[in-house]
Amino acid sequence: MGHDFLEAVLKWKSGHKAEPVRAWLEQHGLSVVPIQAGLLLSGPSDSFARAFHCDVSALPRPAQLPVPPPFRDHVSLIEIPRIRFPMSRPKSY
Amino acid sequence: MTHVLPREYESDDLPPDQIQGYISVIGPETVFSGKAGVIRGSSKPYQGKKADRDEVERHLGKSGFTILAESPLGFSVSAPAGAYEDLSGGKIRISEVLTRVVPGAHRYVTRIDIVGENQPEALGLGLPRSKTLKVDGIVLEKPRYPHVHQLLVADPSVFPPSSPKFHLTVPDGIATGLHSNPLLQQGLRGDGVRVVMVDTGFYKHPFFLAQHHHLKRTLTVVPGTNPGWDPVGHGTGESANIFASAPGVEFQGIRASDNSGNLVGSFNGFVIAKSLQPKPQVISCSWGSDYPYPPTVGLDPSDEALVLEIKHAIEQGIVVIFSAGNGHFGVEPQVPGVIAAGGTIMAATGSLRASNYASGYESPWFGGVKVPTVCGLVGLLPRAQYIMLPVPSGCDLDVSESQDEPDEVGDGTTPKDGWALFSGTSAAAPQLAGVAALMLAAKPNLTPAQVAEAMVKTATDVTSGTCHPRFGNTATIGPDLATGAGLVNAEDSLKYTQKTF
Repeated sequence: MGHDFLEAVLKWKSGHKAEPVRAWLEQHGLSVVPIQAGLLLSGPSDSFARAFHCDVSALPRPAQLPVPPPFRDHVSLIEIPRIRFPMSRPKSY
Repeated sequence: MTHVLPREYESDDLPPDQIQGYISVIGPETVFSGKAGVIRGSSKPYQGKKADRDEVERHLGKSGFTILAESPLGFSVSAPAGAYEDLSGGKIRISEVLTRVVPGAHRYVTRIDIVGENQPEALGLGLPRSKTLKVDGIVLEKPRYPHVHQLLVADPSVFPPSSPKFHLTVPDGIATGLHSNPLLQQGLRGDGVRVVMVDTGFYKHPFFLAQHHHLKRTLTVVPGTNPGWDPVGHGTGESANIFASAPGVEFQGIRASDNSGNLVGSFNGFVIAKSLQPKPQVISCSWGSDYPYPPTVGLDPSDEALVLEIKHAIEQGIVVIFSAGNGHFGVEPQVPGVIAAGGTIMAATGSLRASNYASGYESPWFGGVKVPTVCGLVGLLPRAQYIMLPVPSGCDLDVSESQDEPDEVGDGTTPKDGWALFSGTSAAAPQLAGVAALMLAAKPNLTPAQVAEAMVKTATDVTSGTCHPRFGNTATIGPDLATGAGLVNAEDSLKYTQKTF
């Protein structure tokens, strides 16, 4: 895989039901790790594309993904974070 | 032959998809008696019966082995690591063995072995688990060399090349600048302190092997990436800054890059780092994000999530250090409780001034937070080619830093020698991690706030120079937005903790 791995943060709404969402995400080939704010999703970009029906590679970063309608009562947002840079090179303008 | 490098070490590399081997079928006499020189004369006493060979062949076919060739003595095979493990009951172990490949040249050569209870000591040899299967031994193919000079591409040298540019070396230059030498001379080395670094990768460069550092097997975030490799050289090189002050730490690297070296798994890497057991004592991160400055928007929700993870790590007692940035305005160094590592340059004379490569500002998001907290040693714009660091031969940094750019010539090394001049606040964070480790070795119960307090209260004030022009803050007497409290002082930090906490 090593070329198209993505991460995304999922934030819950209050009163959410986690298990159906987790199961759906895992069925779509995404790894799911609980974090303080919700879930950290990761996996290949095509798994994200199939799950969220969008061309994730074309999205600027940060990028919010559409929350699937069945989960809108449980998930407040899903966002691919902005890019991280190694701090040996200067900021490029 | 004596050599400063260890004769063998366990490799972080993954086993190949298919391992070539040979399965010997038992005959009236065993090939693997352990006695050297006993195989004389005919091969007949070692040939298995046809019925036994047929049984072994059937078993191998059902067990994931591909038979490449056969003889009355056994079968040449190819199989994944798991098939050999099932057959032997042992585990496949990859190691790098220092080998004389041509006269006058040694290099590490990858060897594959089967290890475990009841497995022989001899490298590359295994015994079957089953007592009834007529297998005499399992031999894993070892590299063989043509007798021509094709193998003169050596591993990187233990010692760095020279460069016409003034620079610091690891460990000595960094230890001198950070005042770690007096502690090292007393035998204070950060022994056993658990330091984790999340970065592009961690290659076991001969520099680290010759120093006998305690390097745990690198963990990877991105499936399909090699734990033994670092495509950029960033993690490998910058990690040397930790050992410059604290050569005795227990180091855990987490590779968060993809096969191209992009840090696509940094969030996961941080979550993995803080969740390790036993808990790390220091997490050092030489990467970060960038927002518009002054910011026109608040934090991204995904970065709010990262902030919570960082805060949680600090609440668990982990010292968290992030690079301040090289003109970047990122959220990570601004999180309250993080030690934000800024930049100070030490000239050949020993004089100090603010590095114009490093970020410095007051946080608009977290009241009272100023970046940096304290500084490490960082070069100057345009390229900060300041510290000679070990990298994988031919990696991105080995090549790029050797090349001339319009505003500055290259570092004077070659593109494939496994050494490069670079720094950035990427260097400052692990330098501070090494100093933190010295304190934690002496007083393991120090809180992150106490570690930061000791560094801040005892830093050497830097009173000239300006930080990166994006922020344009000037170093002045006392704490300032260019250099924070100043350049960290390892000796005085430790004395402060011993007196105060």
